[in-house]
Amino acid sequence: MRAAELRSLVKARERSRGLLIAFEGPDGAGKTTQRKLFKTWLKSEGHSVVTSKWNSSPLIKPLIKSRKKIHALSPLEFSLLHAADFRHRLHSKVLPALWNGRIVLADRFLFTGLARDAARGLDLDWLLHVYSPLFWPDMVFYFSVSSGTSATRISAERQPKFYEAGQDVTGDADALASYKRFIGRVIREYEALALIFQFVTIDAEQPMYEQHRRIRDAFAGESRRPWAKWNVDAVTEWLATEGAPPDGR
Amino acid sequence: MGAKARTRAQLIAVDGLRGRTIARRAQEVRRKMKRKWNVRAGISRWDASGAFCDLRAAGRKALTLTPRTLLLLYASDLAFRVRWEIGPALDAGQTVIAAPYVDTAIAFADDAGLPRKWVTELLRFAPRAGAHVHAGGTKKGKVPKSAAMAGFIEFATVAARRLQQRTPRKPSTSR
Repeated sequence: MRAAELRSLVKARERSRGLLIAFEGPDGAGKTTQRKLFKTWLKSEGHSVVTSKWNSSPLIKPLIKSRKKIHALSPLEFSLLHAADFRHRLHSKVLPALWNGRIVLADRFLFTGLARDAARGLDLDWLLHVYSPLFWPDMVFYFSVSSGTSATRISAERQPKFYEAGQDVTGDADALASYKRFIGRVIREYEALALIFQFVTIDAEQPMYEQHRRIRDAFAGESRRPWAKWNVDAVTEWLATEGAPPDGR
Repeated sequence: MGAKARTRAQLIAVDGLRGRTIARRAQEVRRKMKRKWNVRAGISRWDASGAFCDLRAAGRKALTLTPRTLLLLYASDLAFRVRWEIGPALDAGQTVIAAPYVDTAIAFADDAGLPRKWVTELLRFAPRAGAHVHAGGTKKGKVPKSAAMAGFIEFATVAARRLQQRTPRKPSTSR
């Protein structure tokens, strides 16, 4: 199909397509809890909902997992493998669901890659290039917590893992001490992205139900980002390579 | 330069459209360097990181990766090669033959209709090669599934074929 035809397909789909809502923030911010609450509520309202988690491509996740286990990844390899995982999920799961009118809740989205990789010292402009064509969610909820709260919540449950703690870049043998340093950098990157990309910031130190209500309120006043304006390159590339799924897939 | 050994670090890129041709050409270049200049050169090969081998070994029926995803994987493998093979050899003042290197990825991106700027920027971390050897080769002819590990282009061709077999011919427009 020609590019113009693909673009007109994208435009024609705007009204019936689903919404993409991303949940972003540091570890221990409560994203997953809020995502689950919101999903339950959306389903109770009659919406068809799909969840896509970070680093969950059935093809690429095993590659990443085995290399993480032996601490074999440099920041660059870590970044590129996660970008591959992201692109595979975008093409095989997220876009087909959106095309068929389902709501997709992304438990972390590309901003996780940007914040973590930039905190590892990679250039943000290059990272934006790696993830291009960017696919913009309709809404991004950013769960804001201090590095202290994040570290306290994580360490209450378990020891941070090697890459989660940023030990590959801090060189600190103490996982928790490394985590405290690293998560501070990640939060700074997130906060910069929150301003640039206009996230809806949720104070994740507020009571759980307050956060949930804030998410519902923001959703009620939702404004979608028109694909034809924001996401045309990403969607037409997907259509050109994979073709749209049959309705109801 | 005669038979006197070269001591300056040198990176030679060998690129082409067929993995076996690239591998053969890389060996020829290595032999020639030894014969003409008494230079021992190492070869950095595709999939040194084992990522593609792992994907293939997983034997998943749903191995359907789009060209952009394949290039991201190629880039991660190249980053591994730069870290463990190419970079250390150059730092030690040695000659290394990278087969394949950046131009193979560019040729694949061109063929897949991806912007050349995207792939060159993606691979900007790769050190610039001092010499380029084009191994030639052609994409004509069907690549059998068994040849998928012969090289990146073969792997990508098999993956693309599986993708096409799964893809409906016309995008759905209803709703």
